[in-house]
Amino acid sequence: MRRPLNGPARAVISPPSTVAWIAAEILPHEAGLRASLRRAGVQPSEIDDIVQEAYCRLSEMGDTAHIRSPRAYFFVTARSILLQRLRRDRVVPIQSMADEAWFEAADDAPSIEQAVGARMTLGRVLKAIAALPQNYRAVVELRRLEGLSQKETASRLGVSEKIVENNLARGLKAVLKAMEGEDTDHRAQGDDDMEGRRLVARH
Amino acid sequence: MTIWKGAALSRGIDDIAADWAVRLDGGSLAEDERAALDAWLAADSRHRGAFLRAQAGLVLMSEAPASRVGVVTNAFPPIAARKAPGVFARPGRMLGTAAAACAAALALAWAVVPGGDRFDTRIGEVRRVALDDGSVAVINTDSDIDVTYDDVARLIHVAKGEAWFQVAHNKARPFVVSAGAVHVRATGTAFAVRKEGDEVRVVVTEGTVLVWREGERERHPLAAGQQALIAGSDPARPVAPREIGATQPLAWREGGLALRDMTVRAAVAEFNRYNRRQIVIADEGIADSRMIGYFRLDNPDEFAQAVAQVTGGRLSLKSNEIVIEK
Repeated sequence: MRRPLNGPARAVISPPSTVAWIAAEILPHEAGLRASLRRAGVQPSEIDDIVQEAYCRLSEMGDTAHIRSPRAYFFVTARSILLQRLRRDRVVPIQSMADEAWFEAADDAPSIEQAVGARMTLGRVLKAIAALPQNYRAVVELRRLEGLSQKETASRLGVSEKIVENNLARGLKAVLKAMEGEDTDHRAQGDDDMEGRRLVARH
Repeated sequence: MTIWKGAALSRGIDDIAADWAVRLDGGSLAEDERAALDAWLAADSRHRGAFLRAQAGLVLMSEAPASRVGVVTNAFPPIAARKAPGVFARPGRMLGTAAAACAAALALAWAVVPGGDRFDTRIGEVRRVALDDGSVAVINTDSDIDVTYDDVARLIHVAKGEAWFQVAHNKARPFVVSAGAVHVRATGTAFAVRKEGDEVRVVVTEGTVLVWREGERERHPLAAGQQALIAGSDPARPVAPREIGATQPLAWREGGLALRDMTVRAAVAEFNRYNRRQIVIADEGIADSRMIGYFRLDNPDEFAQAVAQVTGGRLSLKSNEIVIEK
């Protein structure tokens, strides 16, 4: 589902308030959404597309103050994207797409989810950071513990800003993988591992 | 600038989005790079979604508070042997940067202390502990403290009670004390952290510390001679530094309690932290009266007698209780 931007080429980058809202209210529910999509029989590559598309719709939304249940909003958005794709592709192999089941998943005892969600998210983020090789982790920790900018981190460690940028990006990728949830762990191991396994298989 | 097109074949949109989010965050995108980002975003709605997601991930990663993360052994080959730069690295510069990264890794490879050390004190016990980095912790009565040192950070968790820290200076390894949802960061500083239920009291005796609550981006500075009482669960309550003045909140390190315009009720609560022999005030008038003085924390009887004298109260001594009444 490619939706190029119409009009001027300069894309609008979301304001920090929107990014913060996504971080606090949406990202923690991504693992749950992916699990629901898997249960509905959606293919992994399709799931990536749908999730990205859902975030895009959220980015186009502007004000978020009217959204009472961000989790439900996220799920409903993803569902409408999925239905649109099904109509387009004229395929109907989807199970448990019945309204009821889907909205139950979106609902998922919101009070508990909201109370525990932040903690669980935090745990996953910390786990991902802890699993980074030490020099990558050092950059992330300086930002996390001392609030240093990339420039400040570079001068503190005596390395180039490029190094800091690369290490931070590596950390971010690990965190984003972690937000996908438990079931994707085998995919989250990285190219090096995959290569290693292939080599072993060949011998 | 069309680098992303080729890269998109072998790497996911999410990874490219992460690279862009970090680059934009770095704040030094040149005009043509910014144009490349705009073009990438404009090309596909999935790019825009993945980019917002990556930016949100960066927020989560940056604001995750200090907490006990296990010590990790390095499961990866040395960085010099890896071609790990992002999509944007220019091959010609890679060798130099890889070497620099290697140097950074070495500089940060500090003595790794596996696992955390736990120190707890009994009621009335004040314990002085020399930590491995040359820092000193003095742990107050009835407290429970975890020390996790590793290659990149020194993390202390005050699960219960209070401790004062004299921190050995080391810029590369931040020293962070966490108590509930409140975090205190220092380098080359002396300060105390006391957990009182959901509230955390921070007292700085030397240098400066930065205090923040879980999930907060803003760091509040506290300087020597200042203290603050921070509500962990109430973000609406501001972190307001106050002068310590003559209150001597750390007299406990010498086994003393300095009363300076403190109510008898508050002083009794202090004594009861340090002694199994508890003081009970049976009269509200006495509890509200204020006292000045310096007392031995391990001698609640002496204190109770002083209170009785000043307020005209009466003591009744029981096996494990001293009751002050009218």
